[in-house]
Amino acid sequence: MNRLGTLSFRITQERAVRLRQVYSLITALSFLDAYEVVTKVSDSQWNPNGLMAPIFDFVGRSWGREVLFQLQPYSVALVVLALLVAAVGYKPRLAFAVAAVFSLFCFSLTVAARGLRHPEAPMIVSLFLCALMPWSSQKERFVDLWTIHLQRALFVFVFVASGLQKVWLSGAEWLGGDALKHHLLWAQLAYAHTEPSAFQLGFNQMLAGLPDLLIVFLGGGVVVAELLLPFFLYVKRVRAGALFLLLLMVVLFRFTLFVPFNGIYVLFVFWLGAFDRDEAVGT
Amino acid sequence: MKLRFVIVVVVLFVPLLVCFVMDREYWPYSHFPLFVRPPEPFQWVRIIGVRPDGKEELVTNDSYVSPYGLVRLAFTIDNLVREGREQDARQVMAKLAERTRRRRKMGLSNLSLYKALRVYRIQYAPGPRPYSDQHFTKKALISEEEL
Repeated sequence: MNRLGTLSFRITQERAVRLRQVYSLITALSFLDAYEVVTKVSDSQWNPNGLMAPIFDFVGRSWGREVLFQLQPYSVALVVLALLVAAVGYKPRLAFAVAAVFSLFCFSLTVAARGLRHPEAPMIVSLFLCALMPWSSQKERFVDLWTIHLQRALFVFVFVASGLQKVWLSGAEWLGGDALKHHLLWAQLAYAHTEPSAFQLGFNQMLAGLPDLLIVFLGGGVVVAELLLPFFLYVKRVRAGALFLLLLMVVLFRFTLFVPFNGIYVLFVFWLGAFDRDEAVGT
Repeated sequence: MKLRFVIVVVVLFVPLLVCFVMDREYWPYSHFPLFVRPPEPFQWVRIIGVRPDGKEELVTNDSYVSPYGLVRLAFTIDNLVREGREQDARQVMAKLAERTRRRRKMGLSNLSLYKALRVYRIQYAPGPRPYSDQHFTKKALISEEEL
């Protein structure tokens, strides 16, 4: 394989169309879902320059941020519309570019009193990468969706960075399962009285009450899975199984720790075998 | 092709690595520090309603802290207290209570269950049992507002 071949990601136009459709629809659903969750319990309600201004006037006002905040519901509608246009196939690069730009206004990017919101960030970065892709070609049977390499690398970074920090900042607690148990019980305490879901069934409490050996297995398993993800994903033979287990893990996190991992779900698409590149073409 | 690829890699991944090394987030670049901090000692904010007979109970109705949700408010107060901004936290609760009183007067919703709202920051006792408001090592009153 030559040097340029390794950087390219050439697949047939038919597969590129299917990928574009699947990606657009999943991303549109993820945006709607993330927006619903975020407005219910999370940071958009906190924006000190938005609806909360009368209460948080000590923070100070910024008219630019106020306007962005007011634009949120319209931005979500525009992003979803642009993604539907991309799914249909009308000027997909432009449609992804529009979705990418307006996605920046969908969520309040600040977190209460500290930090920034990050769960949706990969999804937004991914849209920008999609806007760079040539989705179709008039002349050739194949198209080079080269930014898929970067979408995959971003996906891997999210997990590996998280795994490394778990080991670095609370290594023994995570590997021994104590951290997982704590987070499960914390979520139970923080959400159970308002969120009608698995919390009210005591699912977290049940998980945290599992025998110590199982908790060690689960807590340590999360860290090991995150750290070894590149190996599991880049070795094709084990990729499908690894993806399934990983999806199971983030879905479980969603229901037990109440973190909307929507920004991650969409990136799974780029690892599916159905959309893998045609190896023969790259050689 | 190669140059384009390299440019995007640099724009995308260098800031991600900077975030990782500096342990800070510069949106949209993040090092995704979800649940990575050590858990102990665990403290959390509880918003408690005081009934007319003086009995305390956990507030479960978002209307008392409208337009907030109880969960979001707990996060916010906790973050403010962590940063040593207890005065700001009290100010938030005072303004919310004022809104609640006004809404009650206007008859917008039935908010007569409690005569006051108290905000505690509780340090929970470590141990194998689930965290419970009855098992704590420290309980600090952050604010109390008449309704």
